[in-house]
Amino acid sequence: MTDVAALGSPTSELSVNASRSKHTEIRRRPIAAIVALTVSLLVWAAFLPTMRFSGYNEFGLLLGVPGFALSIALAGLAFVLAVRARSLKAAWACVGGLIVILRLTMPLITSVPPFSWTYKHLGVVDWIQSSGQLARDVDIYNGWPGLFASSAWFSDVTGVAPITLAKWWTPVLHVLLVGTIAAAARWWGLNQWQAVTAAFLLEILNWVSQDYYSPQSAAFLLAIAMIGLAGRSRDRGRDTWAILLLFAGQLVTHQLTPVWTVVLFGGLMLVGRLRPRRLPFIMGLMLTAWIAYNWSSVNDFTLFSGDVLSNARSNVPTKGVFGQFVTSRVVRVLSVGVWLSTAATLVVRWRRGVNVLAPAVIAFSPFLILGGQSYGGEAIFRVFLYALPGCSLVLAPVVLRALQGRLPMRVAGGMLAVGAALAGAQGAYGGWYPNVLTTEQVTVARELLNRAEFPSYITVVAPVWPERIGARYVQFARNGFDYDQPMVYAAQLVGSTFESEADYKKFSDIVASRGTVPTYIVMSRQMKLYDEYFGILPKGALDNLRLRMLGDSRWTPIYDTPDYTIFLSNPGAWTAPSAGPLAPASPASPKD
Amino acid sequence: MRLVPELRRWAQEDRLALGALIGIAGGLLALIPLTALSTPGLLLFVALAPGCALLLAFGGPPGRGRWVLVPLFGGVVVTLASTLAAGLSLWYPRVQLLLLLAGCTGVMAWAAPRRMQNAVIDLTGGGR
Repeated sequence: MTDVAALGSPTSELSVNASRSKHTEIRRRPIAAIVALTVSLLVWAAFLPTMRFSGYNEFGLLLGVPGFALSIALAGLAFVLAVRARSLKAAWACVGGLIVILRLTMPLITSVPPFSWTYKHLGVVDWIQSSGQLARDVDIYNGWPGLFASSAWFSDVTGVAPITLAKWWTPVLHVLLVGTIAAAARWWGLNQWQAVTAAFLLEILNWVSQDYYSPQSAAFLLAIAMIGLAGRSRDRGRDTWAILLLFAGQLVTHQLTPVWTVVLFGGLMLVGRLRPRRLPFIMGLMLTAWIAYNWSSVNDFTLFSGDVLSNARSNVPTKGVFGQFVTSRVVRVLSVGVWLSTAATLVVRWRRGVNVLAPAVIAFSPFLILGGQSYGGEAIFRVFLYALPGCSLVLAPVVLRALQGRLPMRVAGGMLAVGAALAGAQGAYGGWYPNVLTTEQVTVARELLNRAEFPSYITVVAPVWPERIGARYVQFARNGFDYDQPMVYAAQLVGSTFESEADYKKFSDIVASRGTVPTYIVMSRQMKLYDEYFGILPKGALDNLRLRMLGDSRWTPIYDTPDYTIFLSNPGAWTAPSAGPLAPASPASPKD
Repeated sequence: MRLVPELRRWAQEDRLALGALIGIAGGLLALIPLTALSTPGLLLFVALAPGCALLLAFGGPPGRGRWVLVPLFGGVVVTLASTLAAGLSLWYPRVQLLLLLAGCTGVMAWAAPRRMQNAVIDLTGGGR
């Protein structure tokens, strides 16, 4: 608490105003903050069992379990009170409390990691562990294996199962994220108060859910560290090597993040805020070399598309339930609000004669992604994610001034901070129920992949299922890349009810076109939730399909539980379709 | 009686030396899993030891927030080493671990003594 007087950093490009508020020097005991934080953690702990066993709610976990929302609001309020009381320790405790509530909840209320993409990542780890090599001919993951190889190494040496690592990944990542953004804030000249506020903002505004066990999450963390090091690069030439080392780790880990990093550093170089100036060129050469090395993996994808509007569209083209619509609108308002307030802050500073080019580059360089890539419809989400560190750094001094200003400003700032925390949480947990997987589903998915005859198709009807969960996926993928493409995409059945014979025929013709190669069809209770939530299949569609398949002698149900059903096609029972437009469509992109 | 305040002051003033100590401790703990797996000590090693070594290699006075780089450098070193091992089909994790430990020890031996010596002098009240 002795560093209260350090508020304001006159020389920083990120600081709003060097003058100190007259309230700055007043210190109070942070009793109210501690009480609010304690109550929030108690409420959260009390509602954990309810969260674990709560039923589906299309508005997500916050409305499904209002106690969860209450604990988030209280923790946000606790931060506001801690800042008001000028207690740095209490402010950091509140950020820690928010990590506990927002991120530790996930592993505590699930038996296995949520999000089906996690399991595709675990499949690559399993492959490396079992084979000791990369399958660069199979998918793009093996061309950017940094996270998978290090996880395999870690698991081999420690005995910690990769799925355990994946389960606890998110809270650990967030501890590192807030620590790194705070360090970056300091290296860019912000004081300790502004640094903790930047950490608070990064934590509450991160709704994109790209913090699960994934290459992009690791690459994002390294990007923030590099941004920080760039902040002091003018004074410390030796940091060049630190930046390059971190960039090397990022380069072998993820496809998109290093591209943005090079653009960002190029921008910092152009505005004269980077030393040595040759750094972006070295990074660009490294990036080019790595892409060239993996050219066979990436040349199937559109590397450059100048259609900005198309690139900005999300990968959810269907119309989901009302809850999904509400969540989508909430995060849009939050995102646009963050961008606009960052832009407004920079304009105000610019009019005051501050050079704001470097902060503008950090905050808004991610938008350049939209000029070149749609990234499978995920580009707009990545833009927000990548913009978040820059926006947090720019907004931190403003938010801090508001929270430590006069009463009306404090109230307004506090309400905005708590509202933003709730909106961010709604974005992160709005689609919670459709994305949760069960231990039983994971177990049977692994068993199915390991025991299915080869060659065969292991095909889900529609998302979501823990696909490619083990090393054997490489064998199947080498035989036919689309061995697990969801049927709704292969047969262009998005939106089908399966009430009509025509829908079922389209479905069956795909299977018939596969000849004597058997097909496993997977459908699950989670699929119903997910597909209804995102509008991929209407309510009742999977039940209709299941009934049709149960009555079709060409299918044998090999597993049939309330949680999932798996059918196996009977070899020889199928005749090839008369018309031939039903060959499997282009393979699904495993890009992430 | 003054040991704790002295240690605290030393930790605040010379974080790199503290980092080296943590790294060495982590490295020693990491030896345990070579005979028995699933030891939390290795977690310490993986997170801290390579990072500390690199941090020492960079030298200079402890900067604000530098501690954050420790796990990141550690993670990146492991990432690059394991990616290389998988890419070259030389997947021998325990050999990699030993090489990593040897590398860390070497870097520490090169970079640490002066700082450690200064820290010990400070701790015992000498040089003032």
